[in-house]
Amino acid sequence: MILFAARRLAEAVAVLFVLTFLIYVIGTIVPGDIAQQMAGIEGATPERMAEMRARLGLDRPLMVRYGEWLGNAVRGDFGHSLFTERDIAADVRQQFPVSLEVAFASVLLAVVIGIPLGVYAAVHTGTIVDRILRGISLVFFSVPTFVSGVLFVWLGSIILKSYYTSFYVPFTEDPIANLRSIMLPCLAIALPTSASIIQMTRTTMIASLQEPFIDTARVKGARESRVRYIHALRASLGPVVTLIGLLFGALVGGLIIVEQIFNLPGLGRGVLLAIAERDFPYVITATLVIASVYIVVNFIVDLLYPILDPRQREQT
Amino acid sequence: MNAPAARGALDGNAAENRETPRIRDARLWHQLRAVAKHPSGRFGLLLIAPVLILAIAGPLVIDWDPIKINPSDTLQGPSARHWFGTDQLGRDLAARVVSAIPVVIWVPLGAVLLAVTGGSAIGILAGYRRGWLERVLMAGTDVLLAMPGLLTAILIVGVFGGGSRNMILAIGVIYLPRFTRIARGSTLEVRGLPYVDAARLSGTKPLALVMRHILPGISSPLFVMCVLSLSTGLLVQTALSFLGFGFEPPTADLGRMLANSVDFLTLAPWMAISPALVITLLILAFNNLGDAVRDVMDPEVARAAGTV
Repeated sequence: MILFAARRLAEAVAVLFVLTFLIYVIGTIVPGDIAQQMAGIEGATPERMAEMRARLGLDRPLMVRYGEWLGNAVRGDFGHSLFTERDIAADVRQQFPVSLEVAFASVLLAVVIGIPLGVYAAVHTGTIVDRILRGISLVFFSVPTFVSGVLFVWLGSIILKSYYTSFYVPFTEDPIANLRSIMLPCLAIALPTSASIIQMTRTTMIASLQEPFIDTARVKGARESRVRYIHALRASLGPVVTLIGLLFGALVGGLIIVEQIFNLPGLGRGVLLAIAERDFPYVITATLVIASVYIVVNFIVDLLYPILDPRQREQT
Repeated sequence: MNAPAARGALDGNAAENRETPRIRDARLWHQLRAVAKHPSGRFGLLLIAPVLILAIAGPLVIDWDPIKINPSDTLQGPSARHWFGTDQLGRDLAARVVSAIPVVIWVPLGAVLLAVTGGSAIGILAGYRRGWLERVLMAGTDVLLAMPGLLTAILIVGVFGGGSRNMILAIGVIYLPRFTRIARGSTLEVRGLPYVDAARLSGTKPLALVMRHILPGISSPLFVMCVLSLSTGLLVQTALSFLGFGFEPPTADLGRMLANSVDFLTLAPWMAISPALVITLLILAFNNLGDAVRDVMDPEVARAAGTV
C-alpha cells in the first residue's frame, strides 16, 4: 500500500515536471511575445525590444530560464505577473480558495442530489419515477454548463432577485451572503454531474442488490432498509467515487466557465485573463496548481476505493 | 469474452478470407440499422433532424445577411420579419444561427478524425513495439491526461489563436490520449492472438500486418469512442467560443452569441434562446447516438469516457 502510494507520488511529480516544462516552452515560442507588447507595437524598434527582453530576462537560453523558474518555484516563489506586476503566489493564494469552495460545494450538491435519487431509481426499477429520472438525467447531462449558467444568470436577475447576490462574498465575511453568491454557479456545475451520479448509482446499486451477500444479510435478519441503504449502497459507492474523480476534469472546465459567467474571482477566471494578456508566468503557476489538484484527487480516489468496498482489499 | 478479439479471429480465418469484405459490409449495414432502431438512436436522429433541416434549408429561405448590421432593427423580438429576433446590432438571429451550424458539426468531426488517426497510430505503435518506445509514448499520454481537457484546449487556442483549424487541433489534442489508450489496449489483446502470429511468421511486413490484421480487430472500440467523443467535442468547441476563443467577430458563432446575450438577458432573452437551444439539441442528439452505437457495437467501452 505504502509502496503503491510512493510510486504514484513519484509518477505525479514527474508528470507535473514535464507539464511545467511544456507550458514554459509553449509560452516562449508564442507569437507576439510579452516584450513586444510591453514595448508597444509602434515603439518596437529592435533596440527597444532587446532592451525589454534583457530587462525581463528573456534574452537568455530557454533551459537556463526554465531552470531558474523551477528553482524559485520549488521554494514557493513563482515570480511576478508580467501584466499586473503583482506577486503571483499571493494572487493565487487569494483565488484558489474561491475555486476550491465552489468546486467542493458543487460536488457536494451533486452527490446530495445524485446518490439518493440513484438509490431510489435502483430500488424502484422500471417504475414511472425511474423512467422520468432517466429522462431528466439524460437532458441534464447534455445541457452545457454555459447554457445552464446563462439560464441561471437570467433566473437570478429576474425571479430569484431577493435570494441571489451577484458579486462574490467570502465565507469568512458573511456566510449567508457567501452561499447566496455561489448557489447558482454551483447548481450550474452540479446539474450534469448529478445526472451522471444518478445513473452510475442506479447501475451499480442494481448490480449489488443481486449479489449473494445481500441474500446473506437478509437471511441473517437485517431489516430491508438496512440491507438497502447500508449493505448494498456501501458496495455500490466504489464506482461512484471513481466517477466523481473522472468528472473532476469536467468540473475544472465547468469552474472556468462559471467563474467567467458569474464574475467569481477564482483561479479559472485568472487563467482566462492571463491567457488574454499573454501573462505566461501566471498561466504556468495556475496550470500547475490545477493539475496538482487533479492528480491529488485521482490519488485520493484510488485510496478511497478499497476503504469503501471491502471486496477490493484482498486484491491489493 | 470480448467482441474485438472474436471479430479479429474471424477476419483472420484463412478459409473465409475472400468473403471477409462482404461480410464486413453486411455487418456494418446491419449495425447501422440496429443503431437507427435502438430507442436512443432513434431519439438522437429525431433530435438532429430539425437542426440539419435548419442548416440546409435555412440559407434558402432566410434573406437576411448574418453579419449585416441593421440599426433600425436592434433588439427585436421574434416576429414574421425576424424569426428568432435580432441582436443589439440589429442582425437577424435566424440567419446567424443557421450560418453558424455547419462549423459546430465540422469542427468536432475534424477533431475526432485527427484524434482517432493520431491516437490509433501512437497506440498501435506502443502496443505492437512495446519496450522503451511504449513507455515514452504512454508517459506522454499520461501527461496529457493529467490536464483537464478544457484547460488544455484553452491554452492551445489562447496561444495560437482561434478559428476552425486551431480549434480542431486543440480538441484533437485533448482527445488524442483516450484513443491512444484504447488502441494500445486493444492492440495488446489482438497481437497475442494466433492469427497475428501466423501472419507474422508467414512474412507479412509490419505495416501490412497492422493495416490488414490489427486495425480491423481494434476498429470497433475506436469507432464507438469516436461517436461518444462527438458530443463532448461539440461541447468543448462551443465552450471555447463562449469564452471568446472561437471565431473573430463578426462571424456568427453559437458560443459567442450566447456569451453576448448575457448583457441583454432582461431586455432580449431571445438572444440566448436560439443558440442555447441549437447547442443543447445537438449535444443531446450526439449523446443519444453515442449511447446507441455503444450498445450495438461495443458495450465494453466505459461510459465515463464521455466526460471532458
